[in-house]
Amino acid sequence: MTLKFARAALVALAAIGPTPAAWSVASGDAAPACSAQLLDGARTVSLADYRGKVVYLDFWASWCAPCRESFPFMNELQGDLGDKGLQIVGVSVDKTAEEAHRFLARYPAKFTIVLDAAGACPSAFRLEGMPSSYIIDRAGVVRAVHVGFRDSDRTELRRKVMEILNGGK
Amino acid sequence: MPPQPVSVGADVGVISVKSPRLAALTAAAMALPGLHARAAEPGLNPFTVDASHLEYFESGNRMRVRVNQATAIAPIGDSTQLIADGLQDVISGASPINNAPGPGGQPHQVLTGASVNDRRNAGDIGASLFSNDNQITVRQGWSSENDYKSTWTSIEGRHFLNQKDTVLAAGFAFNDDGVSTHDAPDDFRTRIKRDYFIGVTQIINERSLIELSLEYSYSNGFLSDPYKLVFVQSTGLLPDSRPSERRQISVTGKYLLYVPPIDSALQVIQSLSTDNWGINAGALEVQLKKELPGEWQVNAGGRLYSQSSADFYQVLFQTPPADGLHTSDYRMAGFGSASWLLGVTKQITPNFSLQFSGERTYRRYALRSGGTGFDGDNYIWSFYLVTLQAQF
Amino acid sequence: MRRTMHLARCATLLLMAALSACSTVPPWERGTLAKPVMSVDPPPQEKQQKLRTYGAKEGGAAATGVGGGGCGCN
Repeated sequence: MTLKFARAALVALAAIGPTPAAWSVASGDAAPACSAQLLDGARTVSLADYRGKVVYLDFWASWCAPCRESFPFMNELQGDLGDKGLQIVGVSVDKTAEEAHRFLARYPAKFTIVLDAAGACPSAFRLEGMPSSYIIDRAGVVRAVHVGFRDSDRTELRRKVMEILNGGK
Repeated sequence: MPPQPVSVGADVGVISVKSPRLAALTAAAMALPGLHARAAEPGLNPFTVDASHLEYFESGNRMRVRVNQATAIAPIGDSTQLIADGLQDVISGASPINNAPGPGGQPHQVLTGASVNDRRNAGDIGASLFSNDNQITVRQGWSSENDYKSTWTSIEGRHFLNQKDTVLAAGFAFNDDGVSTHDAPDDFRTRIKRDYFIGVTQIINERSLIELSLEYSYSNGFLSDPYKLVFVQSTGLLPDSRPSERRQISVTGKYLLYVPPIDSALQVIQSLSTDNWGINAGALEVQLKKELPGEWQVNAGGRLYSQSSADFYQVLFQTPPADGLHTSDYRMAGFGSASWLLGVTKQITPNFSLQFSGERTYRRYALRSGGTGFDGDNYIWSFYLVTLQAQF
Repeated sequence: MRRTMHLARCATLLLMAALSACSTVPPWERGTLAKPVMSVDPPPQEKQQKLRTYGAKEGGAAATGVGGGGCGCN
């Protein structure tokens, strides 16, 4: 009797256990289509517009604490490697432009910022955490996926970006 | 073989210094801690110091307590925190000793005459470790005053599931106390307490969550109050005498819902407890919490509490009970209480925040859920707490 | 006793079923949950003081979580 209960409990527990990362966009996949409006409202841009450049696609939000750390790093990266063909695109998943602006007032961005309030792009990329960044090569293929941001990630990320800029595998 | 990604999903428990529970919930929403060396903004695993002052007082010239407390949290790398806490409280004022029959048959409370002045020093140290899916905290504490000393140890663990939609928590605490009296301060009678809890926090949807927890505690030893007496009609005053074992079990549910039309969070906390002394109690707390422009946050609400009296409680005793157990302690009586609570927080600069909270409770015999007691025990207690937090 | 055990089992399984029914909130939809007002607990010192007061003034179990050590307040 107790054994039956234990078995049932274990099955139920497994049901609420860690969900396998099914179908998440990984290195080697073609980057899903993604387009969003520039934060300043001027026009819509899409990932395809940047074919030929290496795109560092970063999903961020005003409420995401590690994003306060990642923005200065990305500014540095864009400044250093922009002329080698790097384009950083920060996709805000905030619900309003106002929230995104409030964050940028404190942590300015020296790269392209778009707003995807509806969440179409993060859905397409099947994000597993916030923030998430995808390094996409000149042919539009995802080459690296990074979830979260720690100070200690800087060197490795920079190294990976430079590798892909130089056409490495 | 495709090139490997730079890193795998690394959702680590966020180190938020407000509380381990807040850390768990913030972790449910966000990703990683990080070490931040820049000047102005506190990083994700900041060095924190909290200092607070509390004023507690009761109506009718009864007890007054002042507490000064400071807590420091120091980060070590990305996934460790060291905690140190110290406090001192000063108790003064009168306290009930026993009940006595009055003229016309109405019982009344007898309070201590002279103003009791007690100073208590306490402190604890601890450490928290964080990993991808887990968090563990251990603490060791001490407390000492003239007629009471205590040491305690606690351990608490958390496990995150489902991209932090679910947090499982469990903990254990052990208390070792010695109780004496002012007249014989070195004559300690001991007692121990073991506390166990398990809990689960579950995100329901993008604007609500629920937390359920179960707690069991076992106390053994000298559990009576050495300063309290009972009035027995036939024999006069006898010392407070309680069983040497106490088993309590309680269940608590917390529900948080964000309400967009009023841009506020509604928080409901319900708890129920029972023990082997016959005290059944329940509490319901409701609060509304709202952010205001300019980095203010206000919360306001109320709490209702109700308990039944202990099996061995009487206002006055006719004869000494056969089992030798007797108490007239107002906290073991049947009573209830209604409170209002208010809190205001202001983020002054990115590094400093100031918080004020107040609570006023009306303790009333009429609100009891069972058992016996009397209105002579009714009083009002209030506290005001001011906390300053610095984060770097 | 057997009836209590049976009830306990049903309650546990029901709870687990309920938990599994809650769908995962995608990471990019967690803005509201990240708001400070959405934290269940007040700051540690306030929580500690509140619980110590309830523990000292009430007979019910002050549902603490953990962390003991109270004063012998009368």
